[in-house]
Amino acid sequence: MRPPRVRRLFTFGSRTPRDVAKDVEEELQFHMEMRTADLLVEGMSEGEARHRALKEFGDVVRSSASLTRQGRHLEWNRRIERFASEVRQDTAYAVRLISRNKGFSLAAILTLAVAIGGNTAMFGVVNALFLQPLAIGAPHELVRIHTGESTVSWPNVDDIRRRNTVFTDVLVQGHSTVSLAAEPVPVVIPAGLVSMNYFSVLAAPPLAGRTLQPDDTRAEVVVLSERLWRSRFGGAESIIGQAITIDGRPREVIGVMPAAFRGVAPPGLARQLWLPVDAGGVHRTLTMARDARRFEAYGRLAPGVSVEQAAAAMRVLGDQMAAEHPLTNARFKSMEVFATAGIGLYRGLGKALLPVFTFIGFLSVIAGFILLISCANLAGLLLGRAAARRQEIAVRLALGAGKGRLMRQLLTESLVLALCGGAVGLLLAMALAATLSSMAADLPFAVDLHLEPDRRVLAYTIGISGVCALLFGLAPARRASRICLVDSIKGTGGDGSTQQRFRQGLIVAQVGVSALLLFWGGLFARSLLHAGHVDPGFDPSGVLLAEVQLADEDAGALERVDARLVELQRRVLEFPGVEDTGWSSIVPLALLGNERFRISRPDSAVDQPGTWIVASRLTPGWFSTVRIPFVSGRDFTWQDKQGSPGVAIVNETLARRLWQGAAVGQRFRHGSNVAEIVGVVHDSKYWTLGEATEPTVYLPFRQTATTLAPTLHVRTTDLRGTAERIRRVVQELRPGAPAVMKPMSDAVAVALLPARAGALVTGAFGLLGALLATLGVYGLISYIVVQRSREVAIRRAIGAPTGHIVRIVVGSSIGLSVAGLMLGLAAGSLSAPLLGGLLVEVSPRDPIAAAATALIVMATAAVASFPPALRASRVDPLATLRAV
Amino acid sequence: MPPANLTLLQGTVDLLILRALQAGPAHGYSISRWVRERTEGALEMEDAALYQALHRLEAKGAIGAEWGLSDNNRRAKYYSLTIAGRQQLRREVSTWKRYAEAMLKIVEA
Repeated sequence: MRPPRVRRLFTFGSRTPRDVAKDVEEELQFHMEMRTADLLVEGMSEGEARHRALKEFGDVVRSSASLTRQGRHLEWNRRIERFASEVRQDTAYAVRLISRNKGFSLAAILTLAVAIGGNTAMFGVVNALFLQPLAIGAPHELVRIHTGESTVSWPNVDDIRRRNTVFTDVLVQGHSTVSLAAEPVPVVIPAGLVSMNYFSVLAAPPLAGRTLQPDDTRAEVVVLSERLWRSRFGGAESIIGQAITIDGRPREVIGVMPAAFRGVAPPGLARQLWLPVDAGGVHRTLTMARDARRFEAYGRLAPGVSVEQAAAAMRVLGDQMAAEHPLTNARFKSMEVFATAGIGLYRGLGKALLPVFTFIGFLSVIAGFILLISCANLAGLLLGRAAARRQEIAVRLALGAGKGRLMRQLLTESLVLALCGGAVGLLLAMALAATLSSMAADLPFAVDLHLEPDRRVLAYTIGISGVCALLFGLAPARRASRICLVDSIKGTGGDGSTQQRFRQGLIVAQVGVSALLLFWGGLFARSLLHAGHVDPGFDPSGVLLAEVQLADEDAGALERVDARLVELQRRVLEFPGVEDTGWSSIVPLALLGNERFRISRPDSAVDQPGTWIVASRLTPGWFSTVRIPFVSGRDFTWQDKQGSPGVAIVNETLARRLWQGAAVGQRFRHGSNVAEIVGVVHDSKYWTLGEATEPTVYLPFRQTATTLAPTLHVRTTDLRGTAERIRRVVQELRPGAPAVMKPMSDAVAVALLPARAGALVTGAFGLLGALLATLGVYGLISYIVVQRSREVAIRRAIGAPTGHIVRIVVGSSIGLSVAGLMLGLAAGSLSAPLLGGLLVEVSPRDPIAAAATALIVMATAAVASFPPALRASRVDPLATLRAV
Repeated sequence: MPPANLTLLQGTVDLLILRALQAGPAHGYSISRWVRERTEGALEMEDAALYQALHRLEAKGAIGAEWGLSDNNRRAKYYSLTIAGRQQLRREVSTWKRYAEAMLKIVEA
């Protein structure tokens, strides 16, 4: 066989599936025709020859199909390999480029690290608050049973448990505080009161030992949290099986729960130990009455039951139970079932936590803005670099690189930068999280946010890095790939007007966003100043707080508490230096205690919604202790106790709202009780310094059965001595009871925390944004000056003085900055809904903050544009014109 | 009486193709014709099997393919041996020789 002369057909690029099919067809067709031709030569007729060739081949159709399939598979593999090798090339090139321009790369990576790190940190918080599932088995099956009120009594839960058809089991969870015997004084620990089936229904395995089993008979046991186990018992396995003293009684430790487990609760309300409650057992002042609403109820959905089905079934049951016990279960008509994921955990805590959530949302927005500024910065810088790389790019294009390939390569550079920035940013975010955690240790309640990065956070970081890469890399890449070949290789070529406009737009945008951030920083700074001067409505100076656990655990405890309260107050009043004392269930502004419910007119229908109020339960003497003056009427007396007619005191706001100010003598209903108003007091702050005054109801502590542990307020001239004496009396009244003392001014200082934190964070972000914008403006103006060097040279050549040039450059940048400033301030004044309750008596239109912002922005704009302007004015006109 | 046409034993198509291409590049039909001529009609390959083998060998990298112009100016796909293909050919030839010798000893004894 002679070797045939093969003339190559130049095929380039990849083949589509249609090409593959075509090639196979053509090859087989060729074979057929050659065979037919040979047979013709042998003397067959044309029809016979064709028929014979076809028969000899075998199954043509199947062959063709199979070969095409194989061919497509092969082609696909080839494409992937080619793509992979291109990606490898691009990445290697990008890494080389980045390590060659160390200065630029470092600046870019740091900018990106700050921007991405900030966003990752915010996402980490959102993740810890809403996205992380509870550390239990199958968390999506666990639902909250809400009986129209946020808590439910034991007998009612028992009924629900026995009569429902949609849950495999129902558990209860209640909150309490207990005292744990320790040296030198007993400590107060947040505890969970749970049913025997709690841990098994939640399917939460212990870290050590065992958990409660549904058939456990002994109630004198306790399960510890890992945190308590390590801090108080050294993490020793030997504690399991030992007894520890809780509320004066010994309980055996049967197990330890891992740190990730926090029951069914949002992060921050971590219980440190769990005690079982069974039908026979009572805990302190608990009763098993149907109206003693104490627990939260949760159910695990039966297989195949959806949340909606469960809700429907429970509504029916709720109606039945409301009809059976109309006095206690009236609200059961609004029985609801909802999932415990995400927001579901926070139901019922809504109002109190709204400012926190708003603030977090606000910070996230800021972090997003910083990201945008950073990307705009980098886009500007990269645009400049793209222009400088004109020759390199033009040569590549001339050698045949496709525009798409070029863009892909430029984008790869951006992506590598972004991923490096993202990695550093993740580390920054972790450091920030660690700092926040240590700061949060100062809060009165234990906040337990798991801010370590899990795979959601990692995915977010990578995603954000990718988005950044696109944001700052796309425009320069597209610009670079549209370079005109001839001009570029020669080095000539100027600037299109669209480029000018884009760059000017970037400057306006950066200045605008940084103006907005500075403005917000200013608002918060002013808010902080005001917060220091807000009148809370009471006088905390000279008041000592004593948090004392006077209640025992067993039946009959209520009367005993009553007696002890009265006794302690009476004796403390006799101490030297003490002017006044009183008990209160909440300490205003200290984030210690919070009670909200609705009241309504005595004659209104049962299911008509009433007015929301906040409440506090007091003994006589509290108002004068904290110096809240009366507007009319009287204080409570010791005669207002269990069995006496229900009375209440309201504040001015409530009196005005419901009774036009003349409230004394009027009546209202709360729950199943009716109360007559005996006094009206001045308004005072309840929860935050920035709040609008809430309508407040004060009830006599001794009249309503409640398990809230009240705090004794003591107005005294000798805080330290009084504290000691109170401790001694408490030991007499109830040995082993813990007593925590602190000055009220310290406790109330917590209320300043949000204002301080807010000012700190927004101020820092504002300055950061301003810095980034300044750098960005500087870079862009420098670049513009370089681009217009010919024009500048000509002006100089015809005699324009230096000052003139400087004025032109600075003037144009000032003009753009003013535009940005206006936009930023306009956006800031519209941000009222976002900032709502976060600011203390500062409106989002505050002129002082606006003026300060304007000053800073214009100053930075001038500073940023001065050096380039000077450089422009010192340019040698001849050299410039000759070089071009 | 001419000898009956032998059906090809499994796995020998590859060897035939590689041997055919040893002399130089060829398209599928040439290979088919070469086999028929060299064995004087004793061996007949089903063409479908031939092309399956050709594509398979190309995918494995034993032979390479290029589109070229045939003698009569038609577009045809030409196959040629790669280095790996030559190595495979050497291996298979030696294996086949030893196999044939062994079989001959048994059959003729």
